[in-house]
Parts: sequence; structure tokens; C-alpha cells
Amino acid sequence: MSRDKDIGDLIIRTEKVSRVLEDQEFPVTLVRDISIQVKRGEFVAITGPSGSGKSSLLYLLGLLDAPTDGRIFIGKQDTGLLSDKQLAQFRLENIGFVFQFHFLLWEFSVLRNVMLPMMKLQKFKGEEIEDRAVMLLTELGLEAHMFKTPDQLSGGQRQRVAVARALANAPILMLGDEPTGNLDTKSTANVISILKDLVREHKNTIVVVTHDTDFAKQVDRQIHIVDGQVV
Amino acid sequence: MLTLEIAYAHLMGRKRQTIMSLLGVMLGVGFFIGVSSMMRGSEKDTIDRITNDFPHVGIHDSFRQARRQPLERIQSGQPEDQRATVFISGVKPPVENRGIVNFRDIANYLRTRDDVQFAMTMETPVMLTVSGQTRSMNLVGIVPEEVRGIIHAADSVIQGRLENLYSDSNGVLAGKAFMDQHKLKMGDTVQIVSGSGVTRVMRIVGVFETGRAWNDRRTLLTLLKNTQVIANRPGRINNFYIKLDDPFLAWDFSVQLEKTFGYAAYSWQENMQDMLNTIATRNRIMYAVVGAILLVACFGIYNIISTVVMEKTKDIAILKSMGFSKLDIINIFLLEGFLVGFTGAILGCGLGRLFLHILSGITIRNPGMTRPMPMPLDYGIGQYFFVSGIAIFSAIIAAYLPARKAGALPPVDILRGAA
Ligand SMILES: Nc1ncnc2c1ncn2[C@@H]1O[C@H](COP(=O)(O)OP(=O)(O)OP(=O)(O)O)[C@@H](O)[C@H]1O
Ligand SMILES: [Mg+2]
Repeated sequence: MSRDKDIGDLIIRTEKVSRVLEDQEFPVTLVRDISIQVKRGEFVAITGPSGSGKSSLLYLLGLLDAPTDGRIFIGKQDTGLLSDKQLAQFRLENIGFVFQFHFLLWEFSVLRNVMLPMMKLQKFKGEEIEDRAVMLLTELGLEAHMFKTPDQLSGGQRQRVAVARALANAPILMLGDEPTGNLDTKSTANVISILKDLVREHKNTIVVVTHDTDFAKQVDRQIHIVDGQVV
Repeated sequence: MLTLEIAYAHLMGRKRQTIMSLLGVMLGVGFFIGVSSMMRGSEKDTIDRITNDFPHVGIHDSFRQARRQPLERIQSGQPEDQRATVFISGVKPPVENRGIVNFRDIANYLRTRDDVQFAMTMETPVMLTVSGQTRSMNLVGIVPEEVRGIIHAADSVIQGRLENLYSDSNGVLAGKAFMDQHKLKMGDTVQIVSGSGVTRVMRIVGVFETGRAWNDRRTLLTLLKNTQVIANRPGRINNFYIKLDDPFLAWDFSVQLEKTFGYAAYSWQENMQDMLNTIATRNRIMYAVVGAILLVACFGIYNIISTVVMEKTKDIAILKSMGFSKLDIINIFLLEGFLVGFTGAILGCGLGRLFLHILSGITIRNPGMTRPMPMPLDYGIGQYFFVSGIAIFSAIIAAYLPARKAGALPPVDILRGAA
């Protein structure tokens, strides 16, 4: 997982980011004046009460949503300057997502699910794609399940497949929205240790939203959000 | 190809609906090919038969309008008419056919044209008496070596030979339907009376069968000099039968001939105008019907792709979060439309070919025909491409609306809704 791109030391930098839904009966502020920084190799947890705007912030960081105010830098890129198409390409190259529900493509095998982002980006070519998918799945202890479809896996296994898929294109940033929110204690511990390994051993940068206080204690830093603002 | 893989997976995930949509397109395409082949086949057959059986241009010894009297010409005030000062009372268009006066000029002109073949005839209506019955017939006087490829009856001799006319100065050839109707056989005699009162006993020296009722029942062929005598018009002819290498030039040629020589010249297009109009109308009806079938097929495609889009909103959000752009998503669903349209079109072409195979075994007897014929079919490859193109194009159009909707889905809403 090479990191030879010149992206600087700050993976995420936001300047007074706000997101207001205007098309409602009355405007709803999801997040307000968020200025945070995440360094390369950091493992950060976003915590806060339900409805405080954690998911909304994560979607902004993942460029799935655009702020109504403020700026978001990923690496050195001011993401406000990118067109829709460029944003998609930027996500493809640089960001990996894991959601609370695994969100795998049902019709495809586990292996194919992991290969998909690589087939799209074509940074890896031909044989390389399958080799890399096998490697990732093996690292995550799924070598026995590669040719199954997602419905033949347990919740914890599916979530690990989702992690493998998020890592497929060797992103500079991995984002998780309650990646353990739907798992039992054992699987939760398993996924947490995998994410920790990624940061410790592979110098990945990870930001996760979580309710789980145990989980939150094990990361480098917590960003606590209440009512859409950092406290 | 990744887009193809995803599109295929979506369609396979909804097998029954996909198959129904495919069937819709397939039937539309198949029917089109079957119907279009019959339509075009019969159109071509009709025109072929018309241009084979009838002269492309006929010149008759008549005028479209009575010629203007000298007084009329003076009053018209046109300079070239000013000299027409003679008034003749009682001028009227000729009642009797006198034949074409300047036929030698016309013949000489026609001989200068390489793409023209022609025959000259003298035709006269006669009353024919056979076994006590009387009926009217058209006696056509020909020069046997002139009429090959020009007069259909002369080309359709099934018993005896055209040249038998030379060996029997009272010989005629008659149609098979006429022969059957009166239980006549070769060598039998019939009596004819012309308008000018000449009575002759003619011997049947040959039988032709054109398949056209009017010809086979009403026409008698004999030597030109016989009709000239019977009609009392020695040395005259009253009809030109003209064939052109390209039958579709007939209209213009007839106009030119009429302008040059004055006699009415009718092209086959003019004679058959009603039929050509009917064919055109029939074609329009066919396109409307098949268009309706394809339209229904398109609703099927619209339906399945809308369903897939609705079912797969989660997948769309995943793909977008992964880095698929709006256009990538649109392409996936357009491709689904294309796949249904394309596969349906291929199957439809197969079905259409099968229809043609079945139809080719059927013989029909059209009104106006004296014997059953195999159904005329057009086997042209063009119609397969035409309808397939239409089907694929409409399938993509039908897929476009749901595809655009899919592309515009904001992933955040879906992720929020599902989490
Ligand atoms: N489309 C919307 N219309 C109106 N309000 C919305 C909309 N989307 C989100 N909100 C509100 O914005 C706030 C932030 O939502 P968000 O999903 O970011 O919270 P969260 O911190 O992730 O909560 P949870 O921990 O329950 O997942 C919530 O109060 C939510 O009700
Ligand atoms: Mg949330």
C-alpha cells in the first residue's frame, strides 16, 4: 500500500464547514462551522449523541455531499473546486467507505465485490486485480469465503468484506459510519482490531463514526459532536 | 467490461420480468419482419406483374380532350391561334376509331431509343358466338415476332405456338379460362362478328394462360392483318405497347410522347394509380400496427428498468460512494435497455425468419387470379436491420428515463434512509 503521492501530512482539513438543508419547510442545519484536521496515519473517532450530525459530517468528508459553506481539503486538494465527475474519480482513487450495513452487491461473489473498485479505476491491471483482491481477503481471514455470495456470510464476515473492498484501490483515507454498529461483541472486536492493524502496520488514515464507547477509547483521538458542532 | 457485468447481473436478478420484456421486443420484431415481408413481397409482386403483364406505356388512338375548334382558338387570343379563322360547323371529336394516323412517325421515333421495345397492334371489339352463346371479346391483331416480352398473353402460350397463326389464316389463340368455360379444345372453331359487320369463322390454334382473369377470358390473339380486315382499317394500327428497361421512367416518357404526338399515352403508373395508392396506404397501416407493438414492448422495457432502479437504489448509492459517476450509473441502465433491445431484436429476427419459412409454404388464390400462387414474400435483409435498429433505439429511449433518475439519485439520502 504505497503512499508515494505527494499529499502532505494533513489528510483532512476543514475550514468552517457548514451544511444546511434549504429545501425544507424551514432550513435544517446538519453541521455548523466545523474546522478539524486529521493527520496521516491517525485513527480518529467521531462521537456524539444520536442526531448530532455525525453521519452528515462523514458524508461531507467522503465527498458524497457538498458543504453549503466552508472548505474541505483532502490531501492538498480543495474539493470544492472539483466537478461532479472529478469528485467521483477522486473518491474512487482516494477514499474507501465502510457503512453500518455492509452494502455489498448482492449478485456478485465476495471476490468480485472486492475487485469492483479496482476494475473501475484500472490502477491495477488484469491479473493484478484478482491477486490483490485475494490478498486483501486473505489478510482479513476470508480466504475460505471468496467464491460465496454475500448472503451466504455472517454479519461480521460481510463487514470484513466491506473493509477489504474499501481498501481495494489503496485509498489515502478510509471512512466508516458505525462499521461495528450492527455486529455482535466478538465480530466488533475482530473488526476493530483489523482497523487498528491497518493504521499501525500500514499507516492508513481512518475516520470512523461510532456510538461504541469501548471502540472510541481504543483510537488515537475523538472528535465529539453535539448539535452539529465540535465540542 | 464492468458496466456490462453490472447491467447483466441486474437483468439476471429479475429473470421473469427480463424474459417478458425480451418476448415483447421479440414478438414486435418478429411480427414486423413477417408482415413487412408479406407487404413488400406482394407490393413487389404486384408491381412486377403489372410491369410484366401490361405495357409500361400504351398509346391509343384517342385524345384526352376533344381538339379545339377554330372559333375557340380565335377567341383564346393567343398569337399562334390568330390565323385560325375558318369556322366549320358541326365539328365533333371522332366517334369511330380511325387508327393512329402518324403511327410511322411514332414507330420511327421509338426505334431511335435503345431502352425501348415496342409492338404495334390493331385491336377491335368483336361479338363471339360459340355453341349458341354470344359474348364480347377483344380481338388483338399482332405481328408474332414483334410481341415477345411485350404482350403478356403472347408470352404465356401453354398449348400450340404463336407461329401457328401463320399456318392458318383464320387462326386465333385464346385464353385457357375461356377454353375451359366453353369446353373448347385446340382445332375447334368459333364465329366472330365485328362492329363493322364482318363475320369470320376462326380456328383455335393455341392456348395461353396469363393467370389474369381478364386476359384469359376476354382476349383473342390473331394476325395483325386479320384485325385490319375485320375492323375495316387496312394498313392502320391503333395501339402501341411500349416496354422500357426501367419501368419507373414510364410516367415521364408517356407525358413526353403525348406532348410530341398528340395521342393519349398512358403509363402503367397512371393506369394503376389507385392500386399504387392502396399499396402506400397499406404500408402506412403496417408501420402503424408494428409501431404500436414495439411501443408496447417499450413499456415493458421501461417497466423493468424502472423496477430495477427502484430495487437497486442501495446499489446505486454504493456504486456512487465507491466512485462511480452519475454518467457511469446512467450508462449501466442504458446498457440494460440496450441488452434487452438487442437480444430481443436478435431473437425477433430468428422468429421473423421462422414466420417467413412457414409463410413460404402457403399458397393463396387472389381474386382476379385463375390459379393459386405461393405467397409472394420479400426476403430482403434490409428489413431485419431496419426493425432491429428501431427496436434497439426505442429500447434505449425507454431505458433513458429511469436511467436518468438513477443517475440523479443523491447517495446521501439513500445511505441515510438505509442506515
Ligand atoms: N433530509 C433531512 N431532512 C431533515 N432533517 C434531516 C435530514 N437529514 C438529516 N436530518 C437531521 O439532521 C440531523 C443529523 O443527522 P445525522 O444522520 O447526521 O445524525 P447522526 O449523528 O449520524 O445520528 P445517528 O447517531 O442516529 O446516526 C438529525 O437531527 C436528522 O434528523
Ligand atoms: Mg448516523
